[in-house]
Amino acid sequence: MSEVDRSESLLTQRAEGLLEQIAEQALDDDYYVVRPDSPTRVDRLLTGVATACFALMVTVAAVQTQLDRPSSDRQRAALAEDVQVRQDVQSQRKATVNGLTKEVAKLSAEADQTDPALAALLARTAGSDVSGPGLQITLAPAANDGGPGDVSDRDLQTLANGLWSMGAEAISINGQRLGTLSSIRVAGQSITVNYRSIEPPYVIAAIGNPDRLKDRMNDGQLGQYWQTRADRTGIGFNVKTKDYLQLKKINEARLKLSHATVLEEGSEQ
Amino acid sequence: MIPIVGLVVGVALGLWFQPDVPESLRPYLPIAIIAALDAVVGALRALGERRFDDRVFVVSFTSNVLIAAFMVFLGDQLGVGSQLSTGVVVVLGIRIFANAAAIRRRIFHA
Repeated sequence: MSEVDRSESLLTQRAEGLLEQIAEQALDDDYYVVRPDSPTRVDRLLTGVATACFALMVTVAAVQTQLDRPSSDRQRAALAEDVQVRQDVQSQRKATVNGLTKEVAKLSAEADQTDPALAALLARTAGSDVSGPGLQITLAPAANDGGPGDVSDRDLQTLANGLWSMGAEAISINGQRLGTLSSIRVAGQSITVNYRSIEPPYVIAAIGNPDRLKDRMNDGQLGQYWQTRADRTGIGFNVKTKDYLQLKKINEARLKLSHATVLEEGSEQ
Repeated sequence: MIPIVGLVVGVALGLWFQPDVPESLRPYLPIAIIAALDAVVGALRALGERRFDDRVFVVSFTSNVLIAAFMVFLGDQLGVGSQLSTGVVVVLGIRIFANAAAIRRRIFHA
């Protein structure tokens, strides 16, 4: 197909596809229009201006790309540096945390083992196993009718309180250690200590100075009352000094405070 | 002669001033360059075929650049900027290749 009649044939003939059509009409149709007059100076100048514009655009784009690259590099470097610094800070803090955790563990271990005040407190509040000389009282009820021949929860309460006031340092009833949250109650047919029912005979073990405890018990009102009651009703009341008693610590659940909190330093303890 | 002078002047201006393209115009520059390249390659082909006309070149150059920029703008407004830019680049690329092939055929007869 010759170039001259191509423009005419394009008017009647459709290209097969859009892209082919574009390729066919690559050159603007206006170039094929024959112009008799020669171009003026203005036209030539405009051509120069258009070419200058083209060159300017290309150059500006190239320069811009060149200028942009260092700035984006700088940004990336700054970000990387930032990340590095933060990572350093993080690892430092991790190390600090590790050190402090170790220190806390060490200090609490030391406090647990070596603080005599804490050990004494734990012993008195049934928080630790204790052993030592003391007094053992055995109560065997003579009857099961709730009368004077029986042993009630109140009897055990007064005995325990009496032993505390006589200087006992640790008390347990039938193996149930008495702590700050312990209770001695009657529930149904049996007596419970720390919410565990216990069966007669009741064995009350109290650690303390055995001789002093025994003297106070025998000479005091409590001991005489029980002696009299035993003589009258046949209750078995037996007081013995022991060289070695071992009392287990109280159940963990009876050791924990649920609602009370420790007062601030300087307040009354 | 004048086009070559224009070319040199344009490059010199660009290198001399190194103007900072405003952020809002940056998406338009590459497409405008492709459109201008299409007009320039077309003009070179017409020159080889001795049909070059200054007025046709200036008009096609200007309209190409403006329409390409407008299409990018429209695409941005419609949210399909990249797709429309791709379409424009494809069409202009085909035209550039076709014209370059015609020039090549004329020069090398192949």
